[in-house]
Amino acid sequence: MGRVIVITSGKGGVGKTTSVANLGTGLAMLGRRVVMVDADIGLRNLDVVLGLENRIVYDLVDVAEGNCRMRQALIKDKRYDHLFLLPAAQTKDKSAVTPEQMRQICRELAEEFDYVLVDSPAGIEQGFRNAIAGAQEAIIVTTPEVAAVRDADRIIGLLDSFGLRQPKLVLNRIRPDMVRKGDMMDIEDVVEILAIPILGVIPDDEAIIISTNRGEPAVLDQSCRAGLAYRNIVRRLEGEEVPLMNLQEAQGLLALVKRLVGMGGR
Amino acid sequence: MPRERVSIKGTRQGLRILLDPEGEFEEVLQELEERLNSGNGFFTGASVDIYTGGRELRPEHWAALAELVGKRFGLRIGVIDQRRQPPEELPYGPVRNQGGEEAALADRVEPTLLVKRTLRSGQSVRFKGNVVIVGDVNPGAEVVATGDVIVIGVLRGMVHAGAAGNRAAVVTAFRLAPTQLRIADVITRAPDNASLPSVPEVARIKDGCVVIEEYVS
Repeated sequence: MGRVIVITSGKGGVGKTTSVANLGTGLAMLGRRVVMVDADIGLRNLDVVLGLENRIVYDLVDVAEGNCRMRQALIKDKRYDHLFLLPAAQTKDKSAVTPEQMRQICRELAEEFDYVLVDSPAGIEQGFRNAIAGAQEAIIVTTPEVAAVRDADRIIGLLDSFGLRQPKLVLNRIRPDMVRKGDMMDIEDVVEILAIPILGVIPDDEAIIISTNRGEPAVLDQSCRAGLAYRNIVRRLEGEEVPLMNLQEAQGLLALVKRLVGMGGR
Repeated sequence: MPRERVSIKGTRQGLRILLDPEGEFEEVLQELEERLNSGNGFFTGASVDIYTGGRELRPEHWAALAELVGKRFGLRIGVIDQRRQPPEELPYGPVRNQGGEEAALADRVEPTLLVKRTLRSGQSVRFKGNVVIVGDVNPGAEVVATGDVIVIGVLRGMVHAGAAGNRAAVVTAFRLAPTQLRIADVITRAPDNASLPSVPEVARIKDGCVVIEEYVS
């Protein structure tokens, strides 16, 4: 049986979908059989981020209602033939599936895949409850902002009440320069409040915006720092011990290079 | 027939009084008096939670309510709750004491609830008695107790001690940095740019104001 992991956050716009796309692709790069499930019914995005939008015929709701077989709804990735997407329906809403149906779908997928990654919608209502229904593990995505951390805290409490203990944290979009100046919450500040193990830290990176718009996950780009951070998370998911990226040092190195070539201001 | 302004229900935790949020509070209070009167002393000594259904009580209303229910009819008030909906069920029932001596002791010693976990945003503990939390109280979480509140951890959320009007209640925390701190009817909030204290502290009412001091045993 594969691992069913829900990626959730409470707050919207912190990078859940981007994280699912990158972790799914990253795991596929290591040869794992992966399926990504978009549980954000009515606001589907994961297909766009993966560049698979134009291939959708059937979706999650069709599978739940028995309009098609699972195989027919799964969309194979452009790059890896063992990476699949189960897209959300765009014309329905969250009440179109029940937690029990989601449990059944996740169970079925876990028999065939090593990883089932469920992209949760923002919020704590039925969409969230559906998304977590079939999961055995949870990854919380947050950004170093007070509101995002507050929502993450709420989600951790809710997950606990649904029996999903010890979720892991991905801290997204951190900016070392702002942290250094004391203008942004530090990794320690966030971990101190949330008190859950940290799975990874993703630096804020313009390349992510470019890659999501293109439909090519950043994790494929060897020169992208956010991509490297996602590859590290993938290795940690696989049980490897990988130290957290040293954001400060990397920044220093970049600044050093810039100075050497005469670009640096400071 | 005019609609009922007061409903009295028995629950596992004792009595539950729901007041109509509409209309003049004096009239609601009057009906409450009649209802309690018709009980012929049946309610005396019972513990009771009062829910105002979202009506904001003014201090004089609060006092009148406590006077009527607590003093005249001799009920023990647990919580006066001004939220729109009463909670489905209190997350924790009060500790029940049995037997003569124990009961006599229980009159002097308030029950205490031990919570051995961190309260996260959206979680709340309400208890008739003292509450001890071994863990943090995060922003967005709340603790409401009729007695003292002790937090063996960082208190960043909302805390209300002496919620039934006990002005002698105190709040003690390993690190006291609440969003809002209430004792009885006194409400305070942290200064806008407060930093995390470095020592355990106690909050109590002195001369009608909440005063925070370093904790000394």
